[in-house]
Amino acid sequence: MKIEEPSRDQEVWGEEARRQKKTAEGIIYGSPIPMLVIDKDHKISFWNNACEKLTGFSSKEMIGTDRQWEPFYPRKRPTLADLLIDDDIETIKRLYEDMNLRKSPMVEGGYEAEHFFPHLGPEGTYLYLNAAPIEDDAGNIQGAMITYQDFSERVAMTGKIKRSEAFVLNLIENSIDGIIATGSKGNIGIFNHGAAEILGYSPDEIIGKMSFPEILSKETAMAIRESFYSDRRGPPGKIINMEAHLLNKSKEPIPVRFSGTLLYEQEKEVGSVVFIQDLREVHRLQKEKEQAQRMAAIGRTVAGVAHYIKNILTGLKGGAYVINSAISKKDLELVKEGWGMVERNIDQIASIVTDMLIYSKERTPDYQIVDPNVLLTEVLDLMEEKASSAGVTLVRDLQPGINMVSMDRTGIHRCLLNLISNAIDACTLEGIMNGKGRVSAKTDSPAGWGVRFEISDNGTGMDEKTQERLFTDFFSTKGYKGTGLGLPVTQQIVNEHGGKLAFESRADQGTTFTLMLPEKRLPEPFD
Amino acid sequence: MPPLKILIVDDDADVVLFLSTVLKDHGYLTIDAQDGQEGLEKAKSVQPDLILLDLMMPKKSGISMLSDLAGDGATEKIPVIMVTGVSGETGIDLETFFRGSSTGKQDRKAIIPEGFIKKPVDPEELIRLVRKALK
Repeated sequence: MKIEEPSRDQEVWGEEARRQKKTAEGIIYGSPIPMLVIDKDHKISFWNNACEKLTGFSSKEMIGTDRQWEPFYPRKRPTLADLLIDDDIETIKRLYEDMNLRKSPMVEGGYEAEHFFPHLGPEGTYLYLNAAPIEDDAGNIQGAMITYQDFSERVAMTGKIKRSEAFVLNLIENSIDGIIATGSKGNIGIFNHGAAEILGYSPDEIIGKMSFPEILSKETAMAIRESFYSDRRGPPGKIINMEAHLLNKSKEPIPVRFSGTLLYEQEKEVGSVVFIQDLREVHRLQKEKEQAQRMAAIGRTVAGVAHYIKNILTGLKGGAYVINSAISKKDLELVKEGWGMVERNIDQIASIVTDMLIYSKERTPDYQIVDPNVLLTEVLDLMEEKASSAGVTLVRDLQPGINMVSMDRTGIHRCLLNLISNAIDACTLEGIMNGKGRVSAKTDSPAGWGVRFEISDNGTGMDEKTQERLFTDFFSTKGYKGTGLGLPVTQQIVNEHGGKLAFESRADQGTTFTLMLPEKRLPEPFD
Repeated sequence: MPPLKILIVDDDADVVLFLSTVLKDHGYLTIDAQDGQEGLEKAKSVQPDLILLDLMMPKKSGISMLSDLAGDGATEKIPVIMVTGVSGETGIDLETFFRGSSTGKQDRKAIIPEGFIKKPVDPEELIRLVRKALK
């Protein structure tokens, strides 16, 4: 910067020159930019209004002194302007090194720097300063000036933004959930620690190098695309809690719970962010729980079988007692009776073994084409004796002309036997029916089904507690007379047929069981 | 002295056969009935010295028969031993049931059985209980 300073030696002070000086002073004092000028003797010659405002020091107390350092530093030291006057580049570099010193791009011989002045203002001030030498026509330094710009507010703002940015990044980075963000072309921009843990990649291997589809299995990629652009799992553009598989570094599918949202800027899709939760642990716990449940079921089964076998053993022992007694009495008739007892118990063992095999799916069903009415009649004939000796009437209501149905004849025979036998028991076990017990067996074929068997009784019915436990293995209300396997086995057989077993019961009013078999049996896996 | 008569009431033919064999081997005379109704009729007509009574039977349960026996002057003095196959599963505690302490109900005249024996029946235990009841 050059200001023309008329030489004192010059005789003629032109009116024009004075006006120019006045104008220049006016500019300096009126400028909103804080500015100070010192002369070559390091004495302050200008200290403008903005500088007063910035520093709290008035021009009146400052001008003519060398206190230019005072508002800025705790101790006396040269300012940039002082050093420019002294042309002491070494000291400039030394003192201003940590103040982001650089040569001014605007003013030749000038310097710029930025610094925090803790001394200035109640909380310190960030200043950008620009120092320039003032030379005369001959290029001799006559003084120097410094302008200041307070950028504390900008620093505070930037700090705030930086802090909130760091907070968000921290949040993303330290989330246990995996967080992955992509650009519009699927390129991965954020891949946090959680995602790295789940998928076995380090963020550096992924960010900017891989695209989202590369970590998706084919099915998952398709499902995600479909879900994002439909309202199937949350509104369009969002996916809420979908189970999906992502590929880890070894390309193994990892089960995750997947949520995500497409990102838009001015209605244009610019990327997506997805959140993933590792489901491996959940799946493992689920498996463990299932295993524990299986073990508990096995325990119950073993206890139930042991209990039932104990009953049979009692029968066998009784038979042996009777036979022994008969032998000692040489009573051949009693031997026969005792032997009959033994045989009946052997039959019971055979029966429970069959039930167990059906229940454990060890037995292969043998499917044949069967006339449902013929089968039900057969079972009813078998049960007639039990019913009449218990004073229960069997009512037959068979719809003629029902089509043949493919079924495992032995299995369904067993189911019907179980249901009818149960129905008779319901009428007699408590002795309450006193000969008024009725069990009716019905067939028909509702639309979509091959056959519907309906077995109803007017017996004791079941309370809610009993109904709840109905299909639990080895649950029986018949004391030692029931294995508690009848209904679980029936259910199992019906399920194997793709059929339906349902019941309706009211305590003291009776029970109706419905067994439906499909028109077309489900195809076997390797049919 | 003529042999003592014991009426066995049970719908399970195997149980009847076994119990009667045991009792016969010890010199008792046995009569059997398949359900509570038949049991009640035979109790009246035969006038047994003791009744072995099953709990769950068709037509008339053991409990119902017990109450009928108590209500009839011809049968009220006959001692009864309950033969129970009921496990804890049904939730019935027979001792409590007959003492009436849990229900507090005494509206029906009832016989308190002389004894209880659980299935599977142990022959020696049976004979011990029978002798005690017949004393």
